[in-house]
Amino acid sequence: MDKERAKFVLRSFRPNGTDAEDQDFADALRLATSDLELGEWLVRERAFDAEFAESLARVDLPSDLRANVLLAMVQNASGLPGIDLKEDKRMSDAMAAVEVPVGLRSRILESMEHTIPDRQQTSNWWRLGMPLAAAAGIVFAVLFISDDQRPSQGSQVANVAENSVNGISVEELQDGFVRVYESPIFSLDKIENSKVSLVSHLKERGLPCGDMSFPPGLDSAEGLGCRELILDGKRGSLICFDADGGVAHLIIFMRKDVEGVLPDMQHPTITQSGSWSKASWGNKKYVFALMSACKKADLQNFF
Amino acid sequence: MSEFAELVDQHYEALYRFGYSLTRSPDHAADLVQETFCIWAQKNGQLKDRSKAKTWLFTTLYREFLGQRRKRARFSDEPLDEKTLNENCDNDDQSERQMDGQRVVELLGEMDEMYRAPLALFYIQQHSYKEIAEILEVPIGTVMSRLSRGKDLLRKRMVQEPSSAPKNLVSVNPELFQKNHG
Repeated sequence: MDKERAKFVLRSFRPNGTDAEDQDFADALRLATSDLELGEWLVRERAFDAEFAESLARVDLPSDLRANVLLAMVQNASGLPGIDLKEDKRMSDAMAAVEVPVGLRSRILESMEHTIPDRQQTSNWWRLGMPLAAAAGIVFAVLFISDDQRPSQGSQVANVAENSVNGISVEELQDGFVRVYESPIFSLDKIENSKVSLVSHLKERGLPCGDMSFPPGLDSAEGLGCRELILDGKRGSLICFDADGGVAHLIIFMRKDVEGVLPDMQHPTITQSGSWSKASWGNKKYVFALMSACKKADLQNFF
Repeated sequence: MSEFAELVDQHYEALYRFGYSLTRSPDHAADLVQETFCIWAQKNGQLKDRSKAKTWLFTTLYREFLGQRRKRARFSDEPLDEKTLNENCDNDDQSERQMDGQRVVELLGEMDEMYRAPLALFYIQQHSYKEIAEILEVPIGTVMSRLSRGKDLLRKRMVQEPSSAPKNLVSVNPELFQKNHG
Protein backbone atom coordinates (compact mmCIF):
# COMPACT_ATOMS: atom_id res chain seq x y z
CA MET A 1 0.00 0.00 0.00
CA ASP A 2 1.43 3.38 -0.93
CA LYS A 3 0.85 6.65 0.84
CA GLU A 4 -1.91 7.91 -1.46
CA ARG A 5 -3.84 4.67 -1.16
CA ALA A 6 -3.47 4.82 2.62
CA LYS A 7 -4.89 8.35 2.65
CA PHE A 8 -7.77 7.24 0.50
CA VAL A 9 -8.59 4.38 2.88
CA LEU A 10 -8.12 6.43 6.03
CA ARG A 11 -10.57 9.07 4.89
CA SER A 12 -13.28 6.54 5.70
CA PHE A 13 -11.88 6.09 9.20
CA ARG A 14 -14.30 7.58 11.70
CA PRO A 15 -12.81 10.19 14.01
CA ASN A 16 -14.29 8.66 17.16
CA GLY A 17 -12.07 5.60 16.78
CA THR A 18 -14.93 3.15 16.28
CA ASP A 19 -13.10 1.65 13.32
CA ALA A 20 -9.86 1.05 15.19
CA GLU A 21 -10.50 -2.69 15.35
CA ASP A 22 -11.52 -2.94 11.70
CA GLN A 23 -8.87 -4.96 9.90
CA ASP A 24 -9.56 -3.09 6.67
CA PHE A 25 -7.76 -0.10 8.14
CA ALA A 26 -4.90 -2.07 9.69
CA ASP A 27 -2.43 -1.75 6.81
CA ALA A 28 -3.07 1.96 6.34
CA LEU A 29 -2.78 2.64 10.07
CA ARG A 30 0.43 0.65 10.23
CA LEU A 31 1.87 2.74 7.42
CA ALA A 32 0.80 5.90 9.22
CA THR A 33 2.81 4.89 12.28
CA SER A 34 5.98 4.40 10.23
CA ASP A 35 5.61 7.36 7.84
CA LEU A 36 5.96 10.71 9.56
CA GLU A 37 4.21 12.75 6.88
CA LEU A 38 1.31 10.32 6.66
CA GLY A 39 1.08 10.23 10.44
CA GLU A 40 0.87 14.01 10.63
CA TRP A 41 -1.71 14.06 7.86
CA LEU A 42 -3.81 11.52 9.77
CA VAL A 43 -3.68 13.60 12.95
CA ARG A 44 -4.93 16.67 11.07
CA GLU A 45 -7.52 14.65 9.20
CA ARG A 46 -8.93 13.18 12.38
CA ALA A 47 -8.87 16.54 14.16
CA PHE A 48 -10.85 18.14 11.36
CA ASP A 49 -13.28 15.25 11.15
CA ALA A 50 -13.77 15.21 14.91
CA GLU A 51 -14.59 18.90 15.00
CA PHE A 52 -16.92 18.68 12.05
CA ALA A 53 -18.69 15.70 13.59
CA GLU A 54 -18.95 17.54 16.88
CA SER A 55 -20.52 20.52 15.15
CA LEU A 56 -23.06 18.30 13.45
CA ALA A 57 -23.91 16.72 16.77
CA ARG A 58 -24.73 20.20 18.06
CA VAL A 59 -27.69 20.56 15.77
CA ASP A 60 -30.58 21.08 18.12
CA LEU A 61 -33.54 18.81 17.78
CA PRO A 62 -37.14 20.02 17.76
CA SER A 63 -38.30 19.64 21.33
CA ASP A 64 -41.47 17.82 20.29
CA LEU A 65 -39.88 15.49 17.76
CA ARG A 66 -39.77 12.42 19.95
CA ALA A 67 -43.32 12.84 21.20
CA ASN A 68 -44.61 13.39 17.67
CA VAL A 69 -42.82 10.34 16.35
CA LEU A 70 -44.28 8.13 19.08
CA LEU A 71 -47.75 9.58 18.61
CA ALA A 72 -47.61 9.12 14.86
CA MET A 73 -46.51 5.53 15.33
CA VAL A 74 -49.50 4.88 17.54
CA GLN A 75 -51.85 6.37 14.99
CA ASN A 76 -50.19 4.49 12.21
CA ALA A 77 -50.38 1.19 14.03
CA SER A 78 -54.07 1.84 14.61
CA GLY A 79 -54.73 2.61 10.98
CA LEU A 80 -55.62 6.21 11.70
CA PRO A 81 -54.36 9.06 9.56
CA GLY A 82 -50.96 10.44 10.48
CA ILE A 83 -50.27 13.91 11.74
CA ASP A 84 -49.46 16.64 9.26
CA LEU A 85 -47.27 18.94 11.29
CA LYS A 86 -47.09 21.65 8.68
CA GLU A 87 -50.77 21.95 7.94
CA ASP A 88 -51.73 21.82 11.53
CA LYS A 89 -48.83 23.63 13.09
CA ARG A 90 -50.86 26.27 14.89
CA MET A 91 -53.05 23.66 16.44
CA SER A 92 -50.03 21.59 17.36
CA ASP A 93 -48.40 24.57 19.04
CA ALA A 94 -51.53 25.24 21.02
CA MET A 95 -51.82 21.59 21.93
CA ALA A 96 -48.20 21.54 23.02
CA ALA A 97 -49.05 23.98 25.77
CA VAL A 98 -51.56 21.56 27.25
CA GLU A 99 -50.27 19.73 30.28
CA VAL A 100 -49.69 16.08 29.51
CA PRO A 101 -51.38 13.80 32.02
CA VAL A 102 -49.09 11.72 34.17
CA GLY A 103 -48.73 8.26 32.73
CA LEU A 104 -49.99 9.20 29.27
CA ARG A 105 -46.80 8.11 27.57
CA SER A 106 -47.03 4.69 29.17
CA ARG A 107 -50.66 4.34 28.14
CA ILE A 108 -49.79 5.28 24.56
CA LEU A 109 -47.02 2.74 24.39
CA GLU A 110 -49.30 0.17 26.00
CA SER A 111 -51.97 0.76 23.41
CA MET A 112 -49.37 0.35 20.68
CA GLU A 113 -48.61 -3.08 22.00
CA HIS A 114 -52.28 -3.96 21.84
CA THR A 115 -52.94 -2.58 18.39
CA ILE A 116 -49.89 -3.76 16.50
CA PRO A 117 -50.88 -6.65 14.23
CA ASP A 118 -50.06 -10.17 15.37
CA ARG A 119 -46.70 -11.38 14.17
CA GLN A 120 -45.06 -14.71 13.76
CA GLN A 121 -43.67 -15.93 17.03
CA THR A 122 -40.27 -16.37 15.40
CA SER A 123 -39.85 -12.62 15.51
CA ASN A 124 -39.90 -12.57 19.30
CA TRP A 125 -36.15 -12.51 19.76
CA TRP A 126 -36.12 -10.17 22.71
CA ARG A 127 -37.96 -12.29 25.19
CA LEU A 128 -35.13 -13.01 27.57
CA GLY A 129 -35.05 -16.50 26.18
CA MET A 130 -38.39 -17.26 27.72
CA PRO A 131 -40.35 -20.09 26.14
CA LEU A 132 -43.27 -18.81 24.15
CA ALA A 133 -46.74 -19.80 25.16
CA ALA A 134 -49.78 -19.79 22.99
CA ALA A 135 -52.71 -19.04 25.18
CA ALA A 136 -54.10 -15.82 23.79
CA GLY A 137 -57.78 -15.34 23.40
CA ILE A 138 -59.16 -17.99 25.71
CA VAL A 139 -61.27 -16.38 28.37
CA PHE A 140 -62.30 -18.23 31.44
CA ALA A 141 -65.19 -16.29 32.85
CA VAL A 142 -65.87 -16.94 36.47
CA LEU A 143 -69.15 -18.59 35.59
CA PHE A 144 -67.43 -21.25 33.55
CA ILE A 145 -64.84 -22.22 36.08
CA SER A 146 -65.76 -25.58 37.49
CA ASP A 147 -66.74 -25.89 41.10
CA ASP A 148 -63.48 -27.42 42.20
CA GLN A 149 -61.64 -24.38 40.86
CA ARG A 150 -63.72 -21.89 42.80
CA PRO A 151 -62.64 -20.80 46.25
CA SER A 152 -64.07 -23.34 48.62
CA GLN A 153 -66.66 -22.34 51.16
CA GLY A 154 -64.18 -22.97 53.93
CA SER A 155 -61.37 -20.95 52.43
CA GLN A 156 -60.72 -17.48 53.58
CA VAL A 157 -62.05 -15.02 51.08
CA ALA A 158 -60.51 -11.64 50.64
CA ASN A 159 -62.97 -8.81 50.84
CA VAL A 160 -64.93 -7.77 47.81
CA ALA A 161 -63.41 -4.83 46.03
CA GLU A 162 -64.70 -1.47 47.06
CA ASN A 163 -65.40 1.11 44.37
CA SER A 164 -65.11 -1.56 41.72
CA VAL A 165 -68.08 -0.51 39.61
CA ASN A 166 -65.81 -0.11 36.63
CA GLY A 167 -63.28 -2.64 37.78
CA ILE A 168 -61.57 -5.19 35.64
CA SER A 169 -62.08 -8.88 36.30
CA VAL A 170 -59.21 -11.16 37.21
CA GLU A 171 -59.75 -13.09 34.01
CA GLU A 172 -59.53 -9.92 31.93
CA LEU A 173 -56.39 -9.06 33.80
CA GLN A 174 -54.87 -12.46 33.04
CA ASP A 175 -55.90 -12.36 29.38
CA GLY A 176 -54.62 -8.81 29.11
CA PHE A 177 -51.24 -9.92 30.35
CA VAL A 178 -51.10 -12.71 27.74
CA ARG A 179 -51.93 -10.21 24.99
CA VAL A 180 -49.22 -7.84 26.12
CA TYR A 181 -46.69 -10.60 26.66
CA GLU A 182 -47.28 -12.14 23.27
CA SER A 183 -47.19 -8.81 21.48
CA PRO A 184 -44.19 -8.52 19.15
CA ILE A 185 -43.07 -5.38 20.92
CA PHE A 186 -43.19 -6.72 24.46
CA SER A 187 -40.35 -5.52 26.63
CA LEU A 188 -39.53 -4.89 30.26
CA ASP A 189 -38.97 -1.48 31.82
CA LYS A 190 -36.23 -2.75 34.09
CA ILE A 191 -34.11 -5.87 33.86
CA GLU A 192 -32.67 -6.82 37.21
CA ASN A 193 -32.20 -9.93 39.32
CA SER A 194 -32.87 -8.35 42.68
CA LYS A 195 -36.52 -8.59 43.68
CA VAL A 196 -36.07 -5.74 46.11
CA SER A 197 -34.75 -3.50 43.33
CA LEU A 198 -37.62 -4.43 41.06
CA VAL A 199 -40.19 -3.69 43.74
CA SER A 200 -38.46 -0.39 44.50
CA HIS A 201 -38.52 0.51 40.82
CA LEU A 202 -42.28 -0.09 40.68
CA LYS A 203 -42.88 1.72 43.95
CA GLU A 204 -40.99 4.79 42.77
CA ARG A 205 -43.34 4.99 39.81
CA GLY A 206 -46.41 4.77 41.96
CA LEU A 207 -47.27 1.28 40.78
CA PRO A 208 -48.74 -1.47 42.94
CA CYS A 209 -45.88 -3.55 44.27
CA GLY A 210 -47.57 -6.05 46.58
CA ASP A 211 -45.42 -5.10 49.58
CA MET A 212 -43.24 -8.16 48.86
CA SER A 213 -46.06 -10.38 49.99
CA PHE A 214 -45.38 -13.06 47.41
CA PRO A 215 -46.07 -16.83 47.30
CA PRO A 216 -43.45 -18.91 49.14
CA GLY A 217 -42.39 -20.55 45.89
CA LEU A 218 -41.03 -17.24 44.67
CA ASP A 219 -38.76 -16.81 47.69
CA SER A 220 -35.89 -18.68 46.06
CA ALA A 221 -36.62 -17.39 42.55
CA GLU A 222 -34.46 -14.69 41.05
CA GLY A 223 -36.05 -11.69 39.45
CA LEU A 224 -35.78 -11.19 35.70
CA GLY A 225 -37.39 -7.81 35.28
CA CYS A 226 -40.48 -5.72 35.69
CA ARG A 227 -42.69 -3.29 33.87
CA GLU A 228 -45.85 -1.28 34.10
CA LEU A 229 -48.95 -3.06 32.89
CA ILE A 230 -51.94 -0.94 31.89
CA LEU A 231 -55.15 -2.83 31.27
CA ASP A 232 -58.45 -1.14 30.64
CA GLY A 233 -56.98 2.11 31.95
CA LYS A 234 -55.90 0.52 35.23
CA ARG A 235 -52.24 0.71 36.15
CA GLY A 236 -50.64 -2.44 37.42
CA SER A 237 -47.28 -4.12 37.65
CA LEU A 238 -45.66 -7.15 36.14
CA ILE A 239 -42.69 -8.84 37.76
CA CYS A 240 -41.03 -11.75 35.96
CA PHE A 241 -39.18 -14.41 37.95
CA ASP A 242 -36.74 -17.11 36.99
CA ALA A 243 -38.24 -19.86 39.12
CA ASP A 244 -37.41 -23.56 39.42
CA GLY A 245 -40.38 -24.57 37.33
CA GLY A 246 -39.65 -22.00 34.62
CA VAL A 247 -40.43 -18.34 34.15
CA ALA A 248 -43.26 -17.09 36.34
CA HIS A 249 -45.04 -13.79 35.85
CA LEU A 250 -46.57 -12.03 38.82
CA ILE A 251 -49.23 -9.45 38.01
CA ILE A 252 -50.24 -6.99 40.70
CA PHE A 253 -53.12 -4.55 40.58
CA MET A 254 -54.78 -2.41 43.19
CA ARG A 255 -57.73 -4.16 44.83
CA LYS A 256 -60.03 -1.24 44.08
CA ASP A 257 -59.39 -1.66 40.36
CA VAL A 258 -60.40 -5.32 40.22
CA GLU A 259 -63.93 -6.55 40.72
CA GLY A 260 -65.14 -9.81 42.19
CA VAL A 261 -64.48 -11.97 45.19
CA LEU A 262 -60.98 -13.36 45.59
CA PRO A 263 -59.47 -15.96 47.89
CA ASP A 264 -56.42 -15.19 50.00
CA MET A 265 -52.90 -16.31 49.12
CA GLN A 266 -53.19 -19.56 51.08
CA HIS A 267 -56.15 -20.63 48.94
CA PRO A 268 -55.57 -19.27 45.44
CA THR A 269 -57.81 -19.99 42.48
CA ILE A 270 -55.74 -22.01 40.04
CA THR A 271 -56.82 -22.71 36.48
CA GLN A 272 -55.28 -23.92 33.27
CA SER A 273 -55.92 -22.26 29.92
CA GLY A 274 -54.03 -23.59 26.94
CA SER A 275 -50.39 -23.75 27.91
CA TRP A 276 -50.80 -21.15 30.65
CA SER A 277 -51.42 -21.99 34.25
CA LYS A 278 -52.98 -19.15 36.20
CA ALA A 279 -53.36 -18.47 39.89
CA SER A 280 -55.16 -15.54 41.44
CA TRP A 281 -55.73 -14.24 44.93
CA GLY A 282 -56.04 -10.96 46.77
CA ASN A 283 -55.88 -9.08 50.01
CA LYS A 284 -57.38 -5.80 51.13
CA LYS A 285 -54.93 -3.75 49.15
CA TYR A 286 -53.83 -5.76 46.14
CA VAL A 287 -54.92 -8.36 43.62
CA PHE A 288 -52.33 -10.84 42.40
CA ALA A 289 -52.18 -13.22 39.45
CA LEU A 290 -49.34 -15.64 38.93
CA MET A 291 -48.97 -16.93 35.38
CA SER A 292 -46.61 -19.52 34.03
CA ALA A 293 -46.36 -21.70 30.94
CA CYS A 294 -46.39 -24.88 33.01
CA LYS A 295 -48.77 -27.51 34.28
CA LYS A 296 -51.41 -26.53 36.80
CA ALA A 297 -49.88 -28.84 39.38
CA ASP A 298 -46.50 -27.13 38.98
CA LEU A 299 -48.05 -23.75 39.61
CA GLN A 300 -49.71 -25.13 42.72
CA ASN A 301 -46.22 -25.78 44.11
CA PHE A 302 -45.60 -22.07 44.40
CA PHE A 303 -48.11 -21.85 47.26
CA MET B 1 -39.85 0.93 28.15
CA SER B 2 -41.56 -0.61 25.16
CA GLU B 3 -39.73 -1.81 22.11
CA PHE B 4 -41.11 1.12 20.10
CA ALA B 5 -39.95 3.74 22.55
CA GLU B 6 -36.59 2.10 22.96
CA LEU B 7 -36.00 2.07 19.22
CA VAL B 8 -37.14 5.67 18.87
CA ASP B 9 -34.86 6.78 21.70
CA GLN B 10 -31.87 5.02 20.21
CA HIS B 11 -32.10 6.46 16.73
CA TYR B 12 -34.35 9.47 16.33
CA GLU B 13 -31.64 12.05 17.04
CA ALA B 14 -29.17 10.69 14.50
CA LEU B 15 -31.96 10.18 11.99
CA TYR B 16 -33.04 13.78 12.43
CA ARG B 17 -29.49 15.04 11.85
CA PHE B 18 -29.19 12.90 8.76
CA GLY B 19 -32.56 14.14 7.50
CA TYR B 20 -31.63 17.73 8.31
CA SER B 21 -28.34 17.38 6.43
CA LEU B 22 -30.18 16.04 3.41
CA THR B 23 -33.04 18.53 3.34
CA ARG B 24 -31.65 21.57 5.19
CA SER B 25 -35.13 21.99 6.56
CA PRO B 26 -36.00 21.22 10.19
CA ASP B 27 -39.63 20.59 9.26
CA HIS B 28 -38.79 18.26 6.43
CA ALA B 29 -36.27 16.45 8.56
CA ALA B 30 -38.81 15.97 11.34
CA ASP B 31 -41.37 14.70 8.82
CA LEU B 32 -38.87 12.26 7.40
CA VAL B 33 -38.03 10.89 10.83
CA GLN B 34 -41.70 10.53 11.67
CA GLU B 35 -42.48 8.78 8.41
CA THR B 36 -39.53 6.47 8.81
CA PHE B 37 -40.69 5.26 12.20
CA CYS B 38 -44.27 4.90 10.97
CA ILE B 39 -43.06 2.64 8.17
CA TRP B 40 -41.14 0.68 10.75
CA ALA B 41 -44.29 0.34 12.86
CA GLN B 42 -46.16 -1.02 9.87
CA LYS B 43 -43.44 -3.44 8.87
CA ASN B 44 -42.10 -4.30 12.27
CA GLY B 45 -42.68 -8.02 11.99
CA GLN B 46 -40.76 -8.22 8.75
CA LEU B 47 -37.57 -7.16 10.40
CA LYS B 48 -36.54 -10.19 12.42
CA ASP B 49 -32.90 -9.29 12.93
CA ARG B 50 -32.85 -6.48 15.43
CA SER B 51 -29.21 -5.72 14.74
CA LYS B 52 -30.30 -4.51 11.31
CA ALA B 53 -32.80 -2.02 12.68
CA LYS B 54 -30.41 0.93 12.61
CA THR B 55 -29.33 0.37 9.02
CA TRP B 56 -32.93 -0.30 8.02
CA LEU B 57 -34.11 2.99 9.54
CA PHE B 58 -31.43 5.06 7.82
CA THR B 59 -32.01 3.30 4.50
CA THR B 60 -35.74 3.91 4.81
CA LEU B 61 -35.26 7.59 5.63
CA TYR B 62 -32.94 8.00 2.66
CA ARG B 63 -35.38 6.25 0.33
CA GLU B 64 -38.19 8.43 1.61
CA PHE B 65 -36.08 11.50 0.97
CA LEU B 66 -35.31 10.37 -2.58
CA GLY B 67 -38.95 9.45 -3.18
CA GLN B 68 -40.24 12.80 -1.96
CA ARG B 69 -37.66 14.65 -4.00
CA ARG B 70 -38.70 12.80 -7.11
CA LYS B 71 -42.29 13.80 -6.46
CA ARG B 72 -41.35 17.38 -5.89
CA ALA B 73 -38.47 18.25 -8.16
CA ARG B 74 -38.01 21.57 -6.43
CA PHE B 75 -37.45 19.86 -3.12
CA SER B 76 -33.65 19.68 -3.17
CA ASP B 77 -33.37 23.31 -4.16
CA GLU B 78 -35.53 24.61 -1.39
CA PRO B 79 -33.65 27.09 0.72
CA LEU B 80 -32.89 26.47 4.30
CA ASP B 81 -35.89 27.19 6.44
CA GLU B 82 -35.00 30.87 6.87
CA LYS B 83 -37.63 31.57 9.45
CA THR B 84 -36.44 28.84 11.71
CA LEU B 85 -32.83 29.75 11.13
CA ASN B 86 -33.44 33.38 11.98
CA GLU B 87 -35.38 32.44 15.07
CA ASN B 88 -32.52 30.30 16.20
CA CYS B 89 -29.84 32.80 15.29
CA ASP B 90 -31.65 35.63 17.04
CA ASN B 91 -31.63 33.71 20.22
CA ASP B 92 -28.16 34.55 21.47
CA ASP B 93 -28.67 32.49 24.57
CA GLN B 94 -28.43 29.47 22.35
CA SER B 95 -25.02 30.94 21.49
CA GLU B 96 -22.45 29.49 19.18
CA ARG B 97 -23.42 25.89 19.72
CA GLN B 98 -26.52 26.04 17.61
CA MET B 99 -24.95 28.21 14.91
CA ASP B 100 -22.03 25.87 14.48
CA GLY B 101 -24.36 22.97 13.98
CA GLN B 102 -26.42 24.87 11.45
CA ARG B 103 -23.36 26.04 9.55
CA VAL B 104 -22.26 22.46 9.23
CA VAL B 105 -25.67 21.53 7.93
CA GLU B 106 -25.50 24.42 5.48
CA LEU B 107 -22.10 23.32 4.27
CA LEU B 108 -23.27 19.78 3.79
CA GLY B 109 -26.42 21.01 2.11
CA GLU B 110 -24.39 22.97 -0.41
CA MET B 111 -22.52 19.86 -1.46
CA ASP B 112 -23.61 17.92 -4.47
CA GLU B 113 -26.04 15.30 -3.29
CA MET B 114 -23.80 12.41 -4.29
CA TYR B 115 -21.43 13.57 -1.53
CA ARG B 116 -23.96 14.97 0.90
CA ALA B 117 -25.50 11.73 2.10
CA PRO B 118 -22.27 9.74 2.65
CA LEU B 119 -20.61 12.74 4.33
CA ALA B 120 -23.56 13.29 6.65
CA LEU B 121 -23.62 9.62 7.63
CA PHE B 122 -19.84 9.62 8.10
CA TYR B 123 -19.94 12.64 10.39
CA ILE B 124 -22.87 11.31 12.39
CA GLN B 125 -20.30 8.59 13.18
CA GLN B 126 -22.76 5.81 13.81
CA HIS B 127 -21.99 3.90 10.64
CA SER B 128 -18.90 2.33 9.15
CA TYR B 129 -18.25 2.98 5.50
CA LYS B 130 -19.59 -0.51 4.79
CA GLU B 131 -22.84 0.33 6.55
CA ILE B 132 -23.03 3.61 4.68
CA ALA B 133 -22.75 1.62 1.45
CA GLU B 134 -25.61 -0.58 2.62
CA ILE B 135 -27.77 2.38 3.57
CA LEU B 136 -27.19 4.25 0.34
CA GLU B 137 -27.29 1.04 -1.68
CA VAL B 138 -24.05 1.75 -3.51
CA PRO B 139 -20.80 -0.26 -3.69
CA ILE B 140 -18.33 0.11 -0.83
CA GLY B 141 -15.68 1.51 -3.18
CA THR B 142 -18.10 4.19 -4.29
CA VAL B 143 -18.66 5.27 -0.70
CA MET B 144 -14.92 5.49 -0.10
CA SER B 145 -14.46 7.55 -3.26
CA ARG B 146 -17.32 9.86 -2.39
CA LEU B 147 -16.06 10.35 1.15
CA SER B 148 -12.57 11.10 -0.07
CA ARG B 149 -13.66 13.45 -2.84
CA GLY B 150 -16.46 14.94 -0.77
CA LYS B 151 -14.12 15.83 2.09
CA ASP B 152 -11.77 17.49 -0.37
CA LEU B 153 -14.60 19.57 -1.80
CA LEU B 154 -15.87 20.43 1.66
CA ARG B 155 -12.49 21.76 2.70
CA LYS B 156 -11.96 23.66 -0.49
CA ARG B 157 -15.25 25.37 0.05
CA MET B 158 -14.26 26.30 3.57
CA VAL B 159 -10.93 27.64 2.37
CA GLN B 160 -12.64 29.71 -0.31
CA GLU B 161 -15.24 31.01 2.10
CA PRO B 162 -13.80 30.83 5.60
CA SER B 163 -16.81 32.63 6.99
CA SER B 164 -18.95 29.70 6.00
CA ALA B 165 -16.96 27.34 8.13
CA PRO B 166 -18.22 26.41 11.54
CA LYS B 167 -16.65 28.62 14.16
CA ASN B 168 -14.67 25.82 15.72
CA LEU B 169 -13.15 24.96 12.35
CA VAL B 170 -12.14 28.43 11.14
CA SER B 171 -8.85 28.28 12.97
CA VAL B 172 -7.59 25.54 10.69
CA ASN B 173 -4.79 26.92 8.53
CA PRO B 174 -5.97 27.19 4.90
CA GLU B 175 -2.44 26.70 3.63
CA LEU B 176 -2.26 23.41 5.37
CA PHE B 177 -5.46 22.40 3.68
CA GLN B 178 -4.20 23.33 0.29
CA LYS B 179 -0.92 21.62 0.90
CA ASN B 180 -2.39 18.45 2.26
CA HIS B 181 -5.75 18.23 0.62
CA GLY B 182 -5.61 20.39 -2.40
